[in-house]
Amino acid sequence: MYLEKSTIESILETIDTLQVKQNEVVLILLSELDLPDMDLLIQQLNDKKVAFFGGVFPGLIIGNQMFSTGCILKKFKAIVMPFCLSGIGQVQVSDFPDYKTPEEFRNGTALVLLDGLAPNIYAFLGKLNELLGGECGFIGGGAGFMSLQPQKCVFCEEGFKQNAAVVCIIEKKVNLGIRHGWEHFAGPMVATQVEDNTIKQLNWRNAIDVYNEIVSVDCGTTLNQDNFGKIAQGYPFGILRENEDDIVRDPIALNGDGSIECIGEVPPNTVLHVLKGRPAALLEATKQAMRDCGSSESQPINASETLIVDCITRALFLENQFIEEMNIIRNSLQISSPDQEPYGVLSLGEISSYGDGMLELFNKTIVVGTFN
Amino acid sequence: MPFRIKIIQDISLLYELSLSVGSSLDPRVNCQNFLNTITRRKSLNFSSIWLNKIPEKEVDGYELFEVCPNFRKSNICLSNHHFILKQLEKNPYFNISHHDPNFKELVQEKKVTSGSYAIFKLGNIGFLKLFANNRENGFSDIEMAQLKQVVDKLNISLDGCFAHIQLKEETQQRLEAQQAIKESEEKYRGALENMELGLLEVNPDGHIIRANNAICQMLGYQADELVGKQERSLYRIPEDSENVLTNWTYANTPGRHHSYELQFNHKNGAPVWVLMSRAPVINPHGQNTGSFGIYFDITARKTLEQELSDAKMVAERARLAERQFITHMSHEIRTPINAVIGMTHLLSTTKLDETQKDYLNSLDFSAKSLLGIIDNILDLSKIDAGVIEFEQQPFDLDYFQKNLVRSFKFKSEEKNLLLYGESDPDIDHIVVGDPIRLNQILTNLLANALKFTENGEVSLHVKLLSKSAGKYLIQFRVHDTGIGIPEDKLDTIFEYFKQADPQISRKFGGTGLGLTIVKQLVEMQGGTIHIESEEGKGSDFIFELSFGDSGIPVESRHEHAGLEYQTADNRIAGSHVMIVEDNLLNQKLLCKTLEGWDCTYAVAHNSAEAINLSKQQQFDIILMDIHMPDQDGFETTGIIRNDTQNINKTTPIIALTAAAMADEKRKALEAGMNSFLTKPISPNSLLDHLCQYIKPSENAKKAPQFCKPLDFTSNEPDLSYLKKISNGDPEFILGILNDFKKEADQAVAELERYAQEGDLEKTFALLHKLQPNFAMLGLNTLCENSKTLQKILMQDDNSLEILQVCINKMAINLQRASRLVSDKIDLCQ
Repeated sequence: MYLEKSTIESILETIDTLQVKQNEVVLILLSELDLPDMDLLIQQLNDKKVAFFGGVFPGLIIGNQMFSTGCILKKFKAIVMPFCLSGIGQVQVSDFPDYKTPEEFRNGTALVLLDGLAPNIYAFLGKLNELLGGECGFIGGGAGFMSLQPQKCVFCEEGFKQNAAVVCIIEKKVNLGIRHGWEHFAGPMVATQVEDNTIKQLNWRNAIDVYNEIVSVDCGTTLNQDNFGKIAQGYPFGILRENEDDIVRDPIALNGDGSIECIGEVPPNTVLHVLKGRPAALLEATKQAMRDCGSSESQPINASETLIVDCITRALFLENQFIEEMNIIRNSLQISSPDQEPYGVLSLGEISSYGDGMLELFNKTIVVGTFN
Repeated sequence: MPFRIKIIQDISLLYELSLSVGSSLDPRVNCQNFLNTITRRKSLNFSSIWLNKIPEKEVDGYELFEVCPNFRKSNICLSNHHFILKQLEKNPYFNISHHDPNFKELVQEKKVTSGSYAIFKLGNIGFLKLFANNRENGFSDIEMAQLKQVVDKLNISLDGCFAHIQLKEETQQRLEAQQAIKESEEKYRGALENMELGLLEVNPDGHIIRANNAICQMLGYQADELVGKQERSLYRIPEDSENVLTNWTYANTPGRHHSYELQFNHKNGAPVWVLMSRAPVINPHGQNTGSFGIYFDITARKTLEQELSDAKMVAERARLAERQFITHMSHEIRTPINAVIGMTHLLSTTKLDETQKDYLNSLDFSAKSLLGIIDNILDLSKIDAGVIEFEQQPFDLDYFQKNLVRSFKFKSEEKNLLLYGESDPDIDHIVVGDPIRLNQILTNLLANALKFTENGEVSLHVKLLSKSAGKYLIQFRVHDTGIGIPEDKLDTIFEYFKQADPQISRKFGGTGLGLTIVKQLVEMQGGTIHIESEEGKGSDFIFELSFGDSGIPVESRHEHAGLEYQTADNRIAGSHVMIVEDNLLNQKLLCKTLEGWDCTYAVAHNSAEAINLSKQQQFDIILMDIHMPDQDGFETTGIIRNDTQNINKTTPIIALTAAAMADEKRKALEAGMNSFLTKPISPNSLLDHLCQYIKPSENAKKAPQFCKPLDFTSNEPDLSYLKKISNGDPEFILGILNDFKKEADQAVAELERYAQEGDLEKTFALLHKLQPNFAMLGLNTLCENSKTLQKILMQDDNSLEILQVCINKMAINLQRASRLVSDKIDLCQ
């Protein structure tokens, strides 16, 4: 349920109408504009003794619309109630609550919301995978703000947190479609020196020098710290995988030493390509994502719910065509009630796994999860 | 995809995989990096590494070591005979798709139904397993070959990791061991530096290489002054160096150590006594690299020892002086008393009127009382000086008791008191102990009992308490119905000079030393004494003593009771005695006494006369005074004994002295004398000695006390039996007596021969044959002695030597009986 205004009152009233039971949890997705007093909201939600978790995102999706205000409230039956893990980079398996065995999560889906600008997300996802195994589906995204300034962005009954993750396993099985549609523009090249999210060298040279040689020719402008964010969003990096789409890494800033900051980690010595997007290719990828979820020309998906985690930079890149991407999704679904309208967030990084493979943080990717 | 791009991608894959290994020496991190990379690059669903050795863990078979994506795994193992391992024995790598019937053999990490596995052998340590569900036709041959190259690198890297871990563990263990050694060294260094014991470490040449604080303080040097010095140069006495070196050479082996007490020189020249203990330092090659010495300053102890030694020497001198004083006092007092008593005795044999007899009795009583007091004082002195000695000789306790009691008969009859003694028939063996001291104890107690009893009785009870392991524990009880002792005085009655009441001393006399001596004598023999008394009703003095069991049965006890010492008459009559005595009164006393026993004698007034006489006349015995003005009795005896030409070389010599000290007796025996008599000499003691030493064999003095019944027991022949059966026919009687005399003389010769030959059977047979004759002539004692000797001969546990003595004595007795019979023959004719 989408609320145009994220007031505490409206949120609480709506939750009242949801009649949340003891084994149920409320997912609260907030848009970064007109945020309520989060501490007060959490306190009052705790007073209501309602299980909840959520995050703040640059934008929200309802149907084929994108919203920069308001909030979405969704009620789920929980297998594991939300838990919070602070200090993402330092989390160990022993820090996780000792829940049930992975086999019991087989019919569930882990909803993962984390600080999209936190370091060491890859390691955290590895630990999460170790805890929950490959038994359940994963879908989630990086919370945060358009300013790309690290700040509190995820919450649960423990409070409003930065550099943290909230996880809840709901009793719904998900079908996933993960695609981006970005194409190789230049490469391959080797990330010969990286440090977490920062590419310092490409092919044993200063990263920006190599990147500039590729991008400036195409866009006609030499990149610097001022124009880097705007230009680089059209030229992301792709981490090569055989027989699968590259994993996209969004370059978001140029550091003074010529190193390039990305959303999500880049493995050292990995093979990268500079990617370039074409709206048509991106939209085609969205169609493929929906096919991955089970749709076909003749048979739209009859899902009780559809959750979309779409990258904010992908949305920005598509500009006006973003609505077409949403329509592709919507048109792939059988929607017979408002509850079946797809909803989601515009994220700083998308979280999912390919089937029962590795849990990954993607960039510039659309992740669609349809729940039966 | 353009071929060029494909090649670049392949190479970059190998490049990335190659760089993913070897970046860490932790095998787990190495595996994680490799699996993450290959899983991502090859778009795998999962990958895993299985190993047969895992750090800090025992593995049976192959265990899942790392998996990507990671999940909670616990002890997933494959046996050594698993399908995968069997396949790997044939090929270092293989792949299987879900079309292969063996596909299910590979499903371990996750339940999958479709896809393809690729397996690579990791040398001897395990294998790599890859799974992808996006490869319809499995992993290609090229792909497998490419990966094999990198997997080999992973294998090498893991080998390196494990080698590193092993090296690290060994290094850690070595470091820990080194640390432990270091800590141990620090601990001992600290202990050695701070302990009060000095320490010197020297090299094999004896040069000091280490000195701790304590030794520096002990000797007054700084450590750097001592280091480099020869340890021996510090010794105060150079000879110590030789002794230490000798011992050190002997002890210079591992596990051996030696300790010495020696003196060092303090830097200021003062002596420092140390107790040194030293042990060698042996290196692992068994070589001596020097030694450690520990030094304990014993200067204070040595000083104290010296002081104690000096004090002891002073005390010894004082004690010696005291004993010499007692010896001289004893001599000086006893000699005149001896003369007084002796002369009194001689005077009493002359014709005296009644008044003179009374005076003489008073004189005799006073002299004997004075002698008693002196004896007591001397006894106490001996007890205090610890020089009293206790004999261990066999004696018949019943016989002893009866004699003792009889000796008090006269006194008891004077006071009209009932006096009797009781023996315990269970004491059926001759006991071994000191009859003289026992006599002294009981005499004291009986004398006291008679002294303090006016009415009723005095008795001596001898009772066996226990008998075990060759020991008799015997209780003696002296009972009286006298004045008794108040209860509050019982504890002090045995103290010096204590009597129950001061008035007692005035009324009854006495010094109060008697009971003190009694208690000391009992306790010094390991016994206990106590009193049971009720004032006005009487007292019981009870003491217990332990005696040895000689194993010799007591026979004919009732017969012995009559064997009081009697006059020597014909037993030593005719013996020739030399008296060596410088005191004229004593000479007279001895001469008169010997005359009374029909002995002849010659008197020597000093040592020179004695030696001359000994060369001229054959004596049966020599009575030798010890204290003479020129040469004393010890020296005189030595000269006689050492002169091979002297005809009295082997003649028994009896020492006569007023000195009652035990060491005098020892010296007398050492000088070659046979026995010892203390002045004043009682006629009984003298007779006893004369009878014992005149004409006996060399073994006589070794004869045990139990043979006493065989000595001196010849009784007069009683012819009443012969007269009765012959109606007084003198011819018959004379004939029998002549026959007996003839037979007895012959038997004496045979007994002497049998004794010499040790022929016990013939001795027994002869005695058995003679025995009726002894009875016929009324020689009852000889008859009983014959029976006793026959029984002794039948026992197995008597030494031949003792039996030979007994047989000889029997022969002597028989010879005496023969002489008595001869006297009778003379009378009859």
